[in-house]
Amino acid sequence: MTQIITPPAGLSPSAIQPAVSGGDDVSPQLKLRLKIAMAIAFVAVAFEGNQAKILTLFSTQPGAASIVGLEDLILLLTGAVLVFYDRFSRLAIGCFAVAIIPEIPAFFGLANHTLLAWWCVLPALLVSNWITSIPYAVYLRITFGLVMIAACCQKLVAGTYVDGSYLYFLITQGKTSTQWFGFLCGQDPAASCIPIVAASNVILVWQFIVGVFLIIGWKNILVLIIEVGFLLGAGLFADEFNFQILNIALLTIVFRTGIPISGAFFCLAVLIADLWGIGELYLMARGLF
Amino acid sequence: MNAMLKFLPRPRSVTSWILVALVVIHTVWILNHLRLHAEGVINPWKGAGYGMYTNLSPSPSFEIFTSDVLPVTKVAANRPGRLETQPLLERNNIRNMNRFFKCRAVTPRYLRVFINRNRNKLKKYVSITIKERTVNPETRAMQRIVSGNLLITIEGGKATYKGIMCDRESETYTVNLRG
Repeated sequence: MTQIITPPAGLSPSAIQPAVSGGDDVSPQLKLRLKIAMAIAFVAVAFEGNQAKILTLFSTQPGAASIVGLEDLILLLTGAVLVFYDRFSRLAIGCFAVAIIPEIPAFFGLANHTLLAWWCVLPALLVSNWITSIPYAVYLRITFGLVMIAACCQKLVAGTYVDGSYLYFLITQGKTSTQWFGFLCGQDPAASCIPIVAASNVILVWQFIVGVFLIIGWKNILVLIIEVGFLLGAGLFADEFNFQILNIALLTIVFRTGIPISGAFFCLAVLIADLWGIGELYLMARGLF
Repeated sequence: MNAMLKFLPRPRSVTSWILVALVVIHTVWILNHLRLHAEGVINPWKGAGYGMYTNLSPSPSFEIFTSDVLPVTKVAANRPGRLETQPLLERNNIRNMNRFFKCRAVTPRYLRVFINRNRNKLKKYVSITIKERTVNPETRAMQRIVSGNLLITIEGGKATYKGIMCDRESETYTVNLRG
C-alpha cells in the first residue's frame, strides 16, 4: 500500500515525503541501503558494549587476547550479517534480542544509547519484515521524534547546557578532541563564550524542530543531511562516535534513505577508530611522526 | 481532526497496537526520567532518558573517616587508609545499578559487603560522605558536591546506619554482619 502525495506548486517532489512510508514497493537498491543501515546499527551496539574486550584482541601482550565474554558481540555481528538475507530478517533481530538478555538486569546502569537501540531495534521482532512494514516504519519515526524532543527537554532541565557552562568545561578541561575547539573561547572563565552558548542553543532548538518534524512525518532529506552533520560534529567534539553512528544508521532507516556501500565503509572505519578514540589516535600519530 | 492526525495511521492490527503501547510506555518513562532529573535524584546519563551531554556524569566518590568515639572528625588520624569502596557503588544491584538513584541510601546488602571487606580497617563509628561531580555554572569548572552522608555504628556483629541523602534523612538500617 503506497500513499501518493502530490507536492504543492513551488515545492520540489523531494521536499515532501509521505508521512507513512514503507510498504512492499521498496526498490532493491533502497532495500540494500536499509539493510546496511540496520547492520551498522548492530555493529555500533556490539562495539559499544564490548570496547574493552575488543581492544584486548589487539593487545600485544601474550595471553591478553581472549574471546571469552564476547558471546554477545558474536551474536550481534551474526545478526548484522543475517540482516542482509530476507528470509533471516527476523532471525537477525532475534540475535539482537538474545544478545541483550544478559544486559536486561543492568537497565539502570546502561548508557542511553544502548537503550535507544533497544527501543528502536527490538520492536522489529514483532513484524515479519521490518523493511516493508508500515507499522514499524511509523513506530521508528515517532520513537525517534520523541527521543529528539526528550534530549532537548533534558538539556533545558539540566541548567548547565543552555548557559554553555558544561560545554565550556569540556572545551577547557575535557578530552584532547574537545580542546581542539578551545579557539572558540578565551581562557578566562569569567568571560562569556558567545560562540559556544550560541551553538549549544542552536542545537537545542534544532533537536526540538527535528523531533516535531519526525512526529508529524515531514522527512526532508535536507533535514537528514544537516542532522548527520551535527552528529558527526558532536562526535568529533566529544570524541564519542559510537552513539553518533548508531544515530545516523537509525535515522537513515527513519528517513527511508538507508546507507550506501561507501557510507558503510566510512561508518565501519569510524566505529573501529572509536574503539581507541580519535584523540588517542591523534596522540599516537603525533608520537609516530 | 482526522486530517490533522493523518501522520498517525489508525492501528489496524495487534502488532500495531503493541507498537502504540510501546510508544506510550516509552513516553511515560521519558517524562518520569525528566521529572527525576529535574529533582536531581538520578544520573541523567543513564536509564533511557536521553540526558547525556547535559552535565558531567556524577561518578560518585566516597570520603571515609572512622573512629572509636563520636563525633567522627575529619582529621588525618581518622582516615582508615585505602579501602575497597566498590561495593558502595552497588554495581550489581539491579534496582540501583551504579547508584543510578543517587539519593538512595546504600542498600544494607552492599553496606555489609563493604564492611566485611574492610573489617580490619574500620573502628566502631564510620562516617561516609558521598560526593558527586558537577559543573559549577559560575566558575564553569568541575566541582564535587556532597550528595549524602552516612553514619555507621559497628557493634557486636551488627552495623546500624542512617544517613542524610540529598538533604533528606533516610531511615535507620540494621545489618547483620555475620549473615
